[in-house]
Amino acid sequence: MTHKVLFFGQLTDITATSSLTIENVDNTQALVLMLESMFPGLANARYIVAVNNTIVRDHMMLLETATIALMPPFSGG
Amino acid sequence: MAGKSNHMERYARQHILKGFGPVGQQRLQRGGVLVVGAGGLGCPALQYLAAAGVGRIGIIDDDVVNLSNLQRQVLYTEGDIGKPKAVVAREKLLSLNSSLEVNAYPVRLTTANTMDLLRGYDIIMDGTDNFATRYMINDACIFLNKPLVFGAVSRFEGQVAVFNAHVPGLGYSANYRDLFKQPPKDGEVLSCAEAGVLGVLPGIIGTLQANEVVKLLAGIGKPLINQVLTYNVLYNSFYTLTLTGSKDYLDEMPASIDAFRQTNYGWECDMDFGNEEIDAGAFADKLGKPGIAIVDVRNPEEEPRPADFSFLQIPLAVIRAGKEAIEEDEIIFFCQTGKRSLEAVRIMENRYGGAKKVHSLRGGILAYLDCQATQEL
Repeated sequence: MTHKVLFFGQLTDITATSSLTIENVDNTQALVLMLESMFPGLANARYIVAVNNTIVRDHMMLLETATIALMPPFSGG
Repeated sequence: MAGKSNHMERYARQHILKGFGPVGQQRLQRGGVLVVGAGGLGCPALQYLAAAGVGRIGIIDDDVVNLSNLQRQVLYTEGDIGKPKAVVAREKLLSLNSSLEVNAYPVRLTTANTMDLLRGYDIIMDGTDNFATRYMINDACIFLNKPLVFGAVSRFEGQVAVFNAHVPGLGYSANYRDLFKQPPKDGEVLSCAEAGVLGVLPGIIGTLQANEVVKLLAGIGKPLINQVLTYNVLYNSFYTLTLTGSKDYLDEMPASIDAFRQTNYGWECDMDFGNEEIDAGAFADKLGKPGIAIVDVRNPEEEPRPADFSFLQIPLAVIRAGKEAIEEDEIIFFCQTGKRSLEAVRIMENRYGGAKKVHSLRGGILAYLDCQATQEL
């Protein structure tokens, strides 16, 4: 199962890409840990996680191919 | 000049618009919107709101026009440099549409004046540029039951949302704390001044905000309630996030309007103090280390008194008076909830600059004891 991951805002400073695909992950917690091992800077960044365009407050299973977004707060005006 | 026929002519394109018409126009005319921040987001929004005929417009901004603003703050000209933005913006809007009531508030929004300023308007539009003010406005809108049209930008991307809107039968929709419970610490997220912003971007996002205000006032379409729209100017990509309201945010915001007035939103974001606050875990790690003074700044009679580590007792009043004598170069202050200890940090920083490393225990001794109790379970 392949999931698509989207990075927004200044998270792309850490990841150097705005999207990537990840395989063999079946829950958001494992996904976040995997992303943090790939991009250690994410551990100190603030963001929310959305699965298929819906914000996820607790961790959830990824039973089907999903698009996961990591969204940081923006402050500029 | 502002007679009925004139009015008909001015808004003719909206009058003939199916689904809007004279009724929509009348709703705009009777509506009041307060735009906080007359900068990159506020300028385009204000222009469109005035042009569309929103009857009462308030503008809050305590800043003056700078040359570096002109790249995106399209209400201002070179001749306005040095003038107060709120006052200049008001003049520009009235020259565009003299039939409106436009109020300029060239003041800084604070916990002391926020409630009074927001109360008189139907919709609040957030065009600010810092987290402290964003959270303060969000919380005030919750207390006052006002819908908040949120907008924010970062480099090539922007976010728009409608927070705390009343949905018949469902109560109030999600707010900013449903998205991000607490403000980031200073430095965690770069501001426009630090990160830069493409001038067109706040123009687009501010215009989207004006559109949401018009929709809410006129009662048309589907405003971004329980949704956050993100737009990327480089790729023309829109991403919509759905969120649901919860009551979790209530733990994070002031419990009452009185508590709101006492809240220092700047401290919440660590705006003035860098990373001077440490959490209970970091505090526990520092205990017993040589060269670090642990200081209780509460009055001697205050409970609870921690028993599992040694500390000095120096009430805040003594520190204020400059009569404390702490030899150590690293000091951790604590009090009941973390407010007085933060003040102690500020005093020491002013006095010693960077010569001493000073911290405050976030959440105070209560947070530390809570943390210890949780670990024992």
